[in-house]
Amino acid sequence: MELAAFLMFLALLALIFLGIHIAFALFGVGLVFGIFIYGDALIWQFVGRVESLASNYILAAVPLFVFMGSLLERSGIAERLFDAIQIWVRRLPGGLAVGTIIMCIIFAASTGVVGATETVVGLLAIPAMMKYNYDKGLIAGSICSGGSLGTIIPPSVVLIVMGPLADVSIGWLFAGSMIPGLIMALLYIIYTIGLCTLRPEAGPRPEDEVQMPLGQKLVITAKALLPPLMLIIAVLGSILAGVASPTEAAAIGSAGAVILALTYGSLTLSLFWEAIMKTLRVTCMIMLILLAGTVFTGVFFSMGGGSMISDFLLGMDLSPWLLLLFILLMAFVLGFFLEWISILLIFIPIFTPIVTQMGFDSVWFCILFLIVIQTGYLTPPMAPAIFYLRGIAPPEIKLTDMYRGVVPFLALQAITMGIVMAFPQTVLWLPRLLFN
Amino acid sequence: MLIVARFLEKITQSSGIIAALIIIPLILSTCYEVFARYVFGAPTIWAYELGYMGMGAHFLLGMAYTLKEKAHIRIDLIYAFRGPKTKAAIDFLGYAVIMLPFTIWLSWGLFMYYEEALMFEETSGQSAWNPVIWPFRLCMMIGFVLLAIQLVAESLKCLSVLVGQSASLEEAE
Amino acid sequence: QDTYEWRMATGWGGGPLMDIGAQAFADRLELLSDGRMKVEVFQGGAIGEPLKVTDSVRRGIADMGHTWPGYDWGRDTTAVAFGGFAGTMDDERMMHWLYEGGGVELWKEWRQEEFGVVGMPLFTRTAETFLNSRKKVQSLEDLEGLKLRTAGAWIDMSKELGASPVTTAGDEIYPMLERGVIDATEWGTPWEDTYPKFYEVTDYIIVPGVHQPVAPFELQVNQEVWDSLNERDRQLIETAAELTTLKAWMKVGHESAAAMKLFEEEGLEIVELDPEVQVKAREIGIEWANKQSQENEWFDRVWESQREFEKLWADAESYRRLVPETRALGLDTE
Ligand code: NA
Ligand code: NA
Repeated sequence: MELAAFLMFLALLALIFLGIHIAFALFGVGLVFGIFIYGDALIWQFVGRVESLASNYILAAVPLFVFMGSLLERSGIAERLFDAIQIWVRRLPGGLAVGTIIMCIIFAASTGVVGATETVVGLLAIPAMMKYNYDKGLIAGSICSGGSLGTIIPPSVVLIVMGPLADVSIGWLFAGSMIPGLIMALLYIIYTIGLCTLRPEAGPRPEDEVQMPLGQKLVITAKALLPPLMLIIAVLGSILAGVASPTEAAAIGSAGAVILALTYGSLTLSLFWEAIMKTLRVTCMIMLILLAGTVFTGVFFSMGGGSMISDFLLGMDLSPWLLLLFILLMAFVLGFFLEWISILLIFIPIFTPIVTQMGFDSVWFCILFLIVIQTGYLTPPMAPAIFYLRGIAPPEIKLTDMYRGVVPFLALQAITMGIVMAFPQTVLWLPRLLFN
Repeated sequence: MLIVARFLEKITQSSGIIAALIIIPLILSTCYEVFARYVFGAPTIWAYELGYMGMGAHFLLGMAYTLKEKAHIRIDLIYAFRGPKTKAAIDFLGYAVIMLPFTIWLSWGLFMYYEEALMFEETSGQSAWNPVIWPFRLCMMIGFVLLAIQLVAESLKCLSVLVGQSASLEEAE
Repeated sequence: QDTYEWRMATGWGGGPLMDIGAQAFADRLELLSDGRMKVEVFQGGAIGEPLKVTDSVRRGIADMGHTWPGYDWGRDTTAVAFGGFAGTMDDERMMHWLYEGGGVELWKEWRQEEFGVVGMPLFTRTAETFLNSRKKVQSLEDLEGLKLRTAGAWIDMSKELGASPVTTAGDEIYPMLERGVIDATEWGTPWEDTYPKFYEVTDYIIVPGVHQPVAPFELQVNQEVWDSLNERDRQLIETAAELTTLKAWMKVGHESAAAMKLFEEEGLEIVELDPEVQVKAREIGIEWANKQSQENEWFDRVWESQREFEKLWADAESYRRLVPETRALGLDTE
């Protein structure tokens, strides 16, 4: 039986590598192996999975956050914001890249998914950085890794899926991920400035000098920054203050995004149409993998796959810290090949109880895991952040530039992980302050 | 072959539009719930169930459209470097051999599940609203029937490449 | 001698329902059968869906199941008559009705006829905690507009008491209580309520659980599995289930007494509902049941049997109990 669970995993990887859609590979393997256990009755197992996934109120936050992001990215807010940020950072070494990262932080705080952040910022920042001859690796790295902030800076669809799996409140996870997310973003900025100070040719300073009085700078910035900031505060604030569930906050954010786009005068029917069709595609992509993943893990666990993995780990007789590191390392390696949903579905239910039993805090563990998930966005071949970039980058930026460019940022993510491990307070302080 | 595929895709296209529009009532009803709770001091009885049903219908009816738009993800490490016929063969394996039988079986299962709900006049039992559950179950079944339809369309496109009627999958689009 | 290995679906992630319900039954059955009958117990959601155990057992994806019958109320409200609701008798009477008053026989017949599975009691709760609450609730006025989280048939009935019931996902109850989005929640018995640690975020324990004076849970066996067993093996299963139920009844009762002590130590105030509220709640429950009786033949049969039993036991307090004044005598240590 345990051999079967192992074979199941191999079959999955084989199909995925062949290029079968990930959701279809999960369904297919779950189906074939499931028939061995359940026979005809398997269909009822699957029917149940469909119903319980389709009836999950918490997951209603997914399309709502995606919609909010898709509308914001098309509303004209991004352009204003990009110009306003440039006023302040253009004189810094690597100023355009720094501005890109700051844009990513703001968009990450208003949307729950990586793709939305990355596309909107990338479309603005790539031409600007290309124009000033920025290093192509830095362009690719700052956009991919900046985009992946979308998962660690709340709101985050990854955390919405993770919360119920780990039996942890989503509000706690959102609050817990806030400071680590900001630390990571800060590291990105420091690195960029440092790199461009040491190697000015990586991020050349623009020569055209524009002088602007401070007052005017402030007015432009306030106009560009205040509306999205208010929206962010309303959405995150109502979740963190506990006055609304994540689903409700996402709905309020969606309504707010519509109002914002209306006041900017950018809300046309075709823009709205594009936004809802994109929302549908992103939501269905996520939900179908989620469904396929629960079908797969359902069969995998009932073949004893879960106890196989945990017996194996506990059998190695590692100290709690080594075990924790080993779990995170496994997830990191799997992150090269699998997308985040499958990793969450396999790891979180098995390991959260083990890790908490060893005396670690479950919220803290979830955030560490979130950082690993975030690296998965950048590690090829299954590297969604690079997929998105390929969709919007000019041909001069080669795939090798992208792979080369994300490496330093992966190292920065590892450093963030180290900081969060060494100082659990970075995760736990804010939720304890807010909720106790 | 491709004419049939085009016809089938018309169906999925329209279902996608319906699915996408569901986001609007989802936003409105959820916002109203918050409003009712804090302004009227009385939560609604229906917002919770309407919320998950809205999300469920959005996703179920949109699966087929998402496949048509090629928005489901895959690793193209090997796939991207294959010739058109190999690509079509891999896709045919995924669509026609793996997914189509599964989807048809699941649609049948969901149909029986829907029939049961109808027969017992089963209610959701989840909130004070407690609506009959068969319309939602019907929606689940329709979602997978639509997915099956789109899978047939995709398989036909693969076949047209495999038999040499089209040069590549892109051309068959 | 035949040996068996069965898979049991449950709706539980852990806690008393798992430990002294499903798993205790599995252990006891293995012991009584000299290891011939092994049951592997799965957590909620591992086989089928947690709230649809009956479906999983009927369709054979699980050989056995452990669930609360009330989860099936959307299909047949009779489920609530077995699972307990605001109109139900107390736990002591319920145990006697089930095992001596014909309840188990009715239960088995109903499950077989309406759902095609074999069902019998396994595990029971004593009276639940009425509310884990941030507000003091004692009178009908206190209940007016109270935002309380609940599920199932009690949603409708609590509205008649004046409350504003809310439905939420289980994981969100604790944070919602913490931030005051809801005023109060019901959950399980005092002992079971110590597991989600609601006492950390509430100030009052409101008793007794008029909404759920007792809650029998259920063992289900797939019909084909049952049919394949000889009479002796069936009796073994029934004996193991009955023994586990009686043991659970006592364990829940005793641990709940300890839990009430814990709440006091944690500084919570324990509030007893006014008799007026208790009477009103039961009236609402009975009214609801009478309505179900008119619409549902099976509900009527079960309800009728329970009414007959309660008439027989109407004066039980007079010969089974001393008056309340006697209970505290001799316990003062000062
Ligand atoms: Na985010
Ligand atoms: Na990856």
